[in-house]
Amino acid sequence: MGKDLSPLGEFEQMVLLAVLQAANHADGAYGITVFDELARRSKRLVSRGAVYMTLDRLEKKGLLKSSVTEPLAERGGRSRRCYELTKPARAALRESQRALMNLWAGVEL
Amino acid sequence: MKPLNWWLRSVAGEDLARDILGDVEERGGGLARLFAIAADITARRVIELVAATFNGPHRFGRGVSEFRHAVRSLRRAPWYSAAVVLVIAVTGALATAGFAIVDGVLFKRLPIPNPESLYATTGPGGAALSLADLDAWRREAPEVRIALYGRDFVLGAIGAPPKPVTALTVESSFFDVLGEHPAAGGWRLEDFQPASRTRVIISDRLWRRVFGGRPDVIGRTLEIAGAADHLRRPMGTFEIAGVLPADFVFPVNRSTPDVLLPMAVPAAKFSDRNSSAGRVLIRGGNVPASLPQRLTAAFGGAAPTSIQSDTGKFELALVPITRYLMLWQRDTLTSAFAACAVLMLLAIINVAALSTLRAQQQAHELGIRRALGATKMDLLRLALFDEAPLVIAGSILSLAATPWVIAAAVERLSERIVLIKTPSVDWRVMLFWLGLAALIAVIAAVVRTLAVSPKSVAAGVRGARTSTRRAAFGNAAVAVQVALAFTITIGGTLIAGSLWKLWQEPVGYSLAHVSLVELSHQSAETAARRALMLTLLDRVRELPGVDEVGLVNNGEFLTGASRSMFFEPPADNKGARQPGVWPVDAAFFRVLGIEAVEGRTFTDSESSGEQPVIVISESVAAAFFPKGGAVGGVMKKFSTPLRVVGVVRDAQVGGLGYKIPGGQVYLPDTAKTDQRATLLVRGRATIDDLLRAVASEKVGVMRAMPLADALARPNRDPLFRVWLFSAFTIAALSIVGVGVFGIVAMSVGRRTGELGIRAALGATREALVALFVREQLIAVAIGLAIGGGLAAWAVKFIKTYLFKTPPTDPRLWAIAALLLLIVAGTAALIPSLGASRVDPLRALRED
Repeated sequence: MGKDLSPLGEFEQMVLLAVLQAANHADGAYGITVFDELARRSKRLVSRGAVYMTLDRLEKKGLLKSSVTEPLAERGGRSRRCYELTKPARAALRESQRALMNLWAGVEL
Repeated sequence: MKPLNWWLRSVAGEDLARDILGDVEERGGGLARLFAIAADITARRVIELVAATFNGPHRFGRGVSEFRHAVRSLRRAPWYSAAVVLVIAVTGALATAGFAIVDGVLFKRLPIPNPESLYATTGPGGAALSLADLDAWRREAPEVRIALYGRDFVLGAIGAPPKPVTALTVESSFFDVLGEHPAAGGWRLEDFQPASRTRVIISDRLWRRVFGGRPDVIGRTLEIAGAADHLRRPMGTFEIAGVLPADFVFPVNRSTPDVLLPMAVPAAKFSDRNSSAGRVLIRGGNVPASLPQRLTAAFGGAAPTSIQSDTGKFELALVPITRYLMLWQRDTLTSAFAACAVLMLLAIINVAALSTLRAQQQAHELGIRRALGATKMDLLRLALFDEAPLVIAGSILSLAATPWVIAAAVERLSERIVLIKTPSVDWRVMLFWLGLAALIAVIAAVVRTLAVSPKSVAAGVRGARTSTRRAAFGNAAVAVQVALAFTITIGGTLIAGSLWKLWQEPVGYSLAHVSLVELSHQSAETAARRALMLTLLDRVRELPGVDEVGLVNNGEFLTGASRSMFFEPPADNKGARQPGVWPVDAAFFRVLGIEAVEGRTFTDSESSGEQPVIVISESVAAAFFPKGGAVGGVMKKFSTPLRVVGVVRDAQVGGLGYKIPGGQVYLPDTAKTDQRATLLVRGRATIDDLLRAVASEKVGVMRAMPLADALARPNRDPLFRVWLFSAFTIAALSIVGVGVFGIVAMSVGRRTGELGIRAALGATREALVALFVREQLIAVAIGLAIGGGLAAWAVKFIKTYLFKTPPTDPRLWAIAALLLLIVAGTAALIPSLGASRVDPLRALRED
């Protein structure tokens, strides 16, 4: 599948950041930890379906790469798929952060 | 769990589904969480799909934003959305399943070459022919090819618990005329010699069941327990000569037989015009209309009674095979078709009404759009986009439910209906489903666009209210829906009520704790059969929990068929109908709890049949002894006088609702043990115990089951109709309920201000509830009146299905009306109760 160069959506950015946060967990960044980070830090009602679909889409866009662990008993013999950000993803996040900070500069609400 | 996994894999893909399953397993939450995730992903995929469709070319760009706008706006109208989705889901599932079945029965081409040139014959008596007649036909019409087939019968049983094996005898030209040949193997000419007839061709179904589909089946032996030909002559082991193709359909029978037997006829039979050999299939390219007359003339003035009407007229018809199949199925399918059409109409009206009310609510927005130059076409487009998310969601739900509905329907389908193809969700069904969804969406959108008149749009721009007009529209929609639903509900209650009456009919004996075991002896000798039967009877009697064992010396206790015997009618009633005759022992009466109304039943010493005594049922007593005095009287069987020792009530021995018109004569005739026999066992022994007790190499078990189950079997047709109409009735009631609920909920929503004023002026909560419920009940009453008129006309189509139930039965009509009143009343009450809790200040401020 060709790389999708469309700009990052708000939710996509949040998922990428949640993957970065969840990477600090002992188990790494996978479905559950990413969802937990997102729900805890954004204090939003997040849909699990949306998280899974976004992770899948970001991987297809080449912004995430994944690796699978050994099969685990607590997952019914299934592996975990752990995600990490690719270089373009880090660049896109930095770009987005810079744009936002420029826009916020001098603004008071 | 499996369907859920499959669903998840379908929408999320293999890898993502595995991750999700793992996460749910690890985190917990079980099926509920899995279901929520699958539903969430499905909804998102659908939105993605639709957005991708419209987002591509430039001219569709506007469509995307309109679709998104529609989704957002529908989220603010949850009652409306839920109502429309539910109506489409229920109707779509029933109608699509109905189409899949009808498609598999009527619209599929018969899997035989040129079905158009194949004909069956019909006549008042079934158009059965003797071999001599057949010979005359072949000489008269050499331009056509004719194949003879015998009647279908139960050959024996295979498996544990035993499952009957059906058979059909066919002539050597059968496959050539049909144009369809065995998938493997075939017959040789010598298989049709009278001495042979044991090389059989089996169905694909039996091949898979017995031989597990193994390819080297030709030449193998097939053991069928209790095998006997149609004349009850025991048959030995069979050899497999061939296997029929999987899609083989014998187009003139209720169902494809398990086994085809070669019709082996002794030469002497060819000149015997009195014995009917079977019916024929005729294959001919251009069969002239005069052929039936020529064939009738070929009999030389002595045509068989099977083509003779009561008035002595010869009526032979050649019916194309494609039409012949329909004769069996027309009634049930026509009524199902009609009910399906009414249901679809109901759903379309319902969705159109809800949609129009919603458009009237949006009059302000539409008014502004019109003022900005939007044409009617633009509004239609907008309406379509507004419907689309709901139609898509409802249709997807309906498609998901369709396989389950099809499976449930096929399981209950009458055996009379020949399924040319197993119903499934194939591309034709998908096309129907898509068409139905599109039809609902388009009609709803058109009605809605037309209903929003320029006047109401102008009023919308001014922000003026057109409450009265809206209320009138809503009430009319409710009335029409109730009228249509009443028609279906009347059908449902009449058919269900009729079956209830059938079940309530006294059968004339007790069914509780009675099991039935049908046996077929392998021995041709009467003495050997008798000895074995006594042993088996003793074995069953000794079983723990068995109270009593009765014997019917005839394997057809439940089919109503009986020994053919002639009883001389009395001088003062020469037209007395001939009774059915059942050879039974003394215990038979005790097992079934049949007590003598007059006189007595048999004693154990009479069971062997040496005494010339009989027990008769009340209708036999009335016909043969019209002046009374049946007990002690004499009836002549041919010329043998038999003394009546007792009179019992008439019994429904042929299944519920089936009465032998001439009543029953019970004969103590068990000494001449028949090739087939029925044991009736009272007690708590299980069917497995009974099967073990009668197990013997010399006897085959044809059936073993509780008597009540066996009696219900001939009622498959009425049960299917009850199931069918109940499903339609429930769907119709749900649609009306949802419709009324949606209309009232929307009405409540837009009349918040009015409610606030009423509450502020001191209206009690009860008064506010009554306001809405009263409005709806008036509409329901009008609908019932119109529906009553419609139903009075429509019930004529189901009149033939009703057992002792007049189509105008006031109690059943009242039940149908009450059901609708309850559903509509409850549906109106729920949103009204919510609205009655209105806070006047808040309501006025919101308005």
